[in-house]
Amino acid sequence: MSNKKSASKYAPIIMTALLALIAIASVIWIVLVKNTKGETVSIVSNGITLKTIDLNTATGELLFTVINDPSDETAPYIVDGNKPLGTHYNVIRITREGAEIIDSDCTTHICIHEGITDSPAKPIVCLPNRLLITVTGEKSETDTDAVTY
Amino acid sequence: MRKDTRKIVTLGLLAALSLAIYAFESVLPPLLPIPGMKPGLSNIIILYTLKRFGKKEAGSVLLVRLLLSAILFGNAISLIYSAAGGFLALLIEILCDKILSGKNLQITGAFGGLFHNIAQLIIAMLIMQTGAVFSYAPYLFIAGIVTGLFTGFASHFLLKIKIPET
Repeated sequence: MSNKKSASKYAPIIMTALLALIAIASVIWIVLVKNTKGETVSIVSNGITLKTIDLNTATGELLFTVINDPSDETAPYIVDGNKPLGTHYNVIRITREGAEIIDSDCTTHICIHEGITDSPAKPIVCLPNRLLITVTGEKSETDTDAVTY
Repeated sequence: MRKDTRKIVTLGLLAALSLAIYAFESVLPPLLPIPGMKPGLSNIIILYTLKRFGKKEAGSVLLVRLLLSAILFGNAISLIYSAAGGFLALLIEILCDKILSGKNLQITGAFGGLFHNIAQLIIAMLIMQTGAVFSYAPYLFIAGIVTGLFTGFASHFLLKIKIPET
């Protein structure tokens, strides 16, 4: 009985410490991965990779529209350009700076507000349209192609 | 008999209140551009029901809210997300409340919020068929704890209000 009493006495402290630990670990995690940069953009819909683009070779701006209409048997598919067709579409813009979603028919538009990404630590997702844009591959921070001595 | 009727009416009202808060919350613009992040205010009612009536009652109110919100504003996919989050959160809250012997409701709320987001993250990984969404985990952990703390405090003060029994 006394054992149970002492356990309940320390339970709030232990649980608060556990929460604080998770919060601190999360902050460290965010800070550590913040400045990583990648160079290959992958556009994935329904778990299928529709396109991969190397950011280094991207010239000007590239526009793609991913259509994932559930009533369309051929979906998901990707077309070039800004073509907001039917339902469940996302328009993606890719430049040397990274990838972003510029148009979507989802309700919250969180994917658009997520902005531009060039980091493996920051994928862009559109949950309603099951679209995912990830950046992979390490890129050196200095932006030099090669170093010779 | 009369007591039973009053309980059913009260639970019905709580379910309606939870649904109304959920509806209000879903039209608010997102605070931060993190997918799946929400204030989770309707959980105040679930936590309140858990404390005032019990496990079964809280589960019933949650189930009613989930089904009605899916029919009114959502779809099958959003039902999977909110059901997984809602029930895991409730389970964890029952467990925490037992460990804390009914005290420190804000800690219970924080754990509920945290596990709500963990469940949704797992569902997102399964539906999107990728581990990439795991990058959002630290943001969702912090958000879950913060919103959960608020939910816990809100339920704590709500429980102090005496509802007239007529």
